[in-house]
Amino acid sequence: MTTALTLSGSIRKGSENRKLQDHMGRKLAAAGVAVTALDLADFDMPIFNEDLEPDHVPEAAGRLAAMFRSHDIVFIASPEYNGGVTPLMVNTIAWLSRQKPSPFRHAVFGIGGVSSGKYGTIWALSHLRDQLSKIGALVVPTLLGIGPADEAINADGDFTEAAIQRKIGQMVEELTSIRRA
Amino acid sequence: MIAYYLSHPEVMIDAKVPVPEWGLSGPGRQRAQAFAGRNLLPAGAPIYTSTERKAVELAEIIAAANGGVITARHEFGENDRSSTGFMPPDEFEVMADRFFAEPHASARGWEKAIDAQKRVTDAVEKALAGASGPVIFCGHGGVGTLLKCHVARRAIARSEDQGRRGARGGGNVFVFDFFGPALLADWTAFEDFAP
Repeated sequence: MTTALTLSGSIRKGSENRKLQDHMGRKLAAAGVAVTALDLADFDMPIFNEDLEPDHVPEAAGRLAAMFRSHDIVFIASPEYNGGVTPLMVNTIAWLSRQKPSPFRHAVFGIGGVSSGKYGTIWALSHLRDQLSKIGALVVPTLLGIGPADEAINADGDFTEAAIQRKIGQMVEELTSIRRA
Repeated sequence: MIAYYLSHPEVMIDAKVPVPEWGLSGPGRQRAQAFAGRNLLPAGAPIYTSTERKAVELAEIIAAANGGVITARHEFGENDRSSTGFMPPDEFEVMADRFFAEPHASARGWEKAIDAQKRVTDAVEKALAGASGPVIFCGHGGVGTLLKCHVARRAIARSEDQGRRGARGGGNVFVFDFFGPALLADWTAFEDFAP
């Protein structure tokens, strides 16, 4: 049984990136993967500060790290803020990177994002890919930047544009066929 | 609308590991797989679970069989017992008796039963409000029993607990209509369940 986690760097109501997270979840499930959708609102962590270690490490960091270690695939939907990733995403990665053993060296990672503009989070995804790679994650190659959001998503929360569907299919194929040794 | 509540079966107990990170034991996993393999649950039905590892593992075993997508939320979690942490079985049983007998009181810092019941029923209501067909919940014996008491309109009592009606170590199912509300089948061991 192949297992996957999906999560989004946005926790606001009606988030377009949550829609991408859920859409990818449905596509992975259709490919035979047992998919668990997480909400980062359930993993409360203070702004990372080394002074909090070791006595005040949030329980949520250990819990989320354990989940990363025990799943085969992690898909992250990331919004773009000012050309970068969200504070929530940065903080989550900072805390996870301090957990031992590393939560980034088991699963294969896929990243994507939706934005209101036509560049579709490509800067944010570039930063996210660099950061994840730096800490040892294996990120599949497909660049899944989607925008503008209002033209890309239908009323059912699906991404119907042919080119986007092709990329999503390609990423599902990569995530389900690539394994770490 | 029919909903199924499944409690996780036996876990790998390790006092050095935080309780939310305990996974299913070998026998627990085998029981879950055997249950899922009977394909008694509706194909494609969405699955909601707590974020605790043992419940997520159960949900994944069910999802592998029925093809449903899992949503994990903290609000489906077991009653908060972090104030005492792991307790030896005898001591735990005494505390569990108090938890059910005094639902409006917090025993040694445990989440009150009445608060845990409201939390889980609110979460279940929210999940079911957006559903168009049957829904599966994977969770825990404590909050599951509290949910069952709510839908059955029964008082919170230890006699309603899964161990008194189904398999003692977990791995039970009850079936309900939340909005009826109605309890359609009480806690039943995975092996004895037949819809």
